[in-house]
Amino acid sequence: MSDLSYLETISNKELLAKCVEHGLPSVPVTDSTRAVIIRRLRATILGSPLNKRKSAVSATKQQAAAPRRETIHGSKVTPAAENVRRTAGKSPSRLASSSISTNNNNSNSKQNERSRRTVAYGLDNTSDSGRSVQTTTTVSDVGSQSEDDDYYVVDSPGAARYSNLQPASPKRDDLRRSLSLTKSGVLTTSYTREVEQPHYDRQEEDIPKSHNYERAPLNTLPSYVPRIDPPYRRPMNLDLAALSRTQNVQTQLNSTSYQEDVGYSQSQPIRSPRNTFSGSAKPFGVAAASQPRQRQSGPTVGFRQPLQPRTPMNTLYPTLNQFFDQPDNNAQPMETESESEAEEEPQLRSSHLSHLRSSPLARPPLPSRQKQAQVAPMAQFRELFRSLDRQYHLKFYFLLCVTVMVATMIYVALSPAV
Amino acid sequence: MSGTTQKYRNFVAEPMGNKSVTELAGIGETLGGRLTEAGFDKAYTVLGQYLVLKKDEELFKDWMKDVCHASSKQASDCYNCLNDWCEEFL
Repeated sequence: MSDLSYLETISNKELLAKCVEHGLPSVPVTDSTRAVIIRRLRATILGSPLNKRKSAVSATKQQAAAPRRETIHGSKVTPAAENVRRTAGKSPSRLASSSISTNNNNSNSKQNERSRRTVAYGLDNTSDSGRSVQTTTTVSDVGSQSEDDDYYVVDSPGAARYSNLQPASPKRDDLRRSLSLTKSGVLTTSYTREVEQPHYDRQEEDIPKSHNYERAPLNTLPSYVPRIDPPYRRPMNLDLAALSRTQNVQTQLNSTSYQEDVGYSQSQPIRSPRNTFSGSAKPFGVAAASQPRQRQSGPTVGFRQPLQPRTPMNTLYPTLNQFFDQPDNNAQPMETESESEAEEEPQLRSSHLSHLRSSPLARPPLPSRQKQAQVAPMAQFRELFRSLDRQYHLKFYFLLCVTVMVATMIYVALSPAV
Repeated sequence: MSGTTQKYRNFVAEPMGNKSVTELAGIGETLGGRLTEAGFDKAYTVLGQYLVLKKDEELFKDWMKDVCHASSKQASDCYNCLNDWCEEFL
């Protein structure tokens, strides 16, 4: 320090020259900036960082990162795992700062690992917070596994550290293994995991997944029916026998759901599409007694339209057309339907029926097109008007305006007389 | 980056004109008094210092700490305020 005391005595020009000499930015040296520049110049000459706090923090980070690198690096971290960790990384700055990919990635991965670990261990059944990070992965199912992969990979290399944690989730290891193997053949992962239960878990996973997807709508049916259900249910209803053969659990669920559908058909209009579908096969021209009427309820109309394009033209058209037709024939019973729809539909349906009656085979394409062309805009307009009326009370304001206008007219008409 | 303060938004939203130094983000009455004692009574004087230091973040923060004993956060807020103002109007 004593050697650098001369900095305070030198002139501004000399100080600026010193700054340039030591590679510092050529900041103009003034009375206000002199102190700061001298401080930085002194720090540069001594090699000590200007900001002790930052330097200390950075040093601690580097120190902390160094041992991590060594441990992870020695533990054979797979590149795939590193990549996954990067995607899940919550601190891009850290990632950006890493010049060396492998070492820095390892250090970053450790930081991510710990956070994930906490999440992953708590996520025996479902991982909510962890999936948010996993969403970065393309495959949804794999997403959960990707975390596991990271987790697994980390555990495998750092066996000494995380060996205790691994047994907590043995099932995941299989998933992790599969992912790690697909992404990059990892010797370490293949050793331990394959021996445990690779195929066993896979079969379990595959089966429950399909079950889960089907169960969700079935359980929720009485309360509400998601739009996605119909396409799934149609094959379900048709293939109930086959399903019962293959899987016990599914058959039970399907059977229950199917029976429920029949029972609920009257009570719930949403269910009706199934019933109508099955029942529609019976009579093409004749409308079913009760079920078709239920189907024609107001909400179903909007619900059906999206279904038509979805369903294949070959098989489903006759049934769907009949659905629409049946309600037309049975338009009378539609007490449950909304008034506006009931008014519109009969006209459209009557027109459809005239065309449809000519040939049963030709019906499907014609009514579907016509309905799409005619019913869709009217229904959409009505829905739009309803929604606007709900939100903005258009009718009310319209009536209000009319009354005000009438009142003003009357007032204007009467005022001159007075 | 954490959310910006209303003071920051007010300053960055318009030309500084003859605004007082206390209208800079991170500069309150205490630091404003110290800066005023040091001759930096207006925001543009601090801006001038910021420009003289060539927008160097560390130098400016160090200068802030040296002149008015600002904390790291206060210096950072002031720097960000001036930096964003310059990006907007300079």
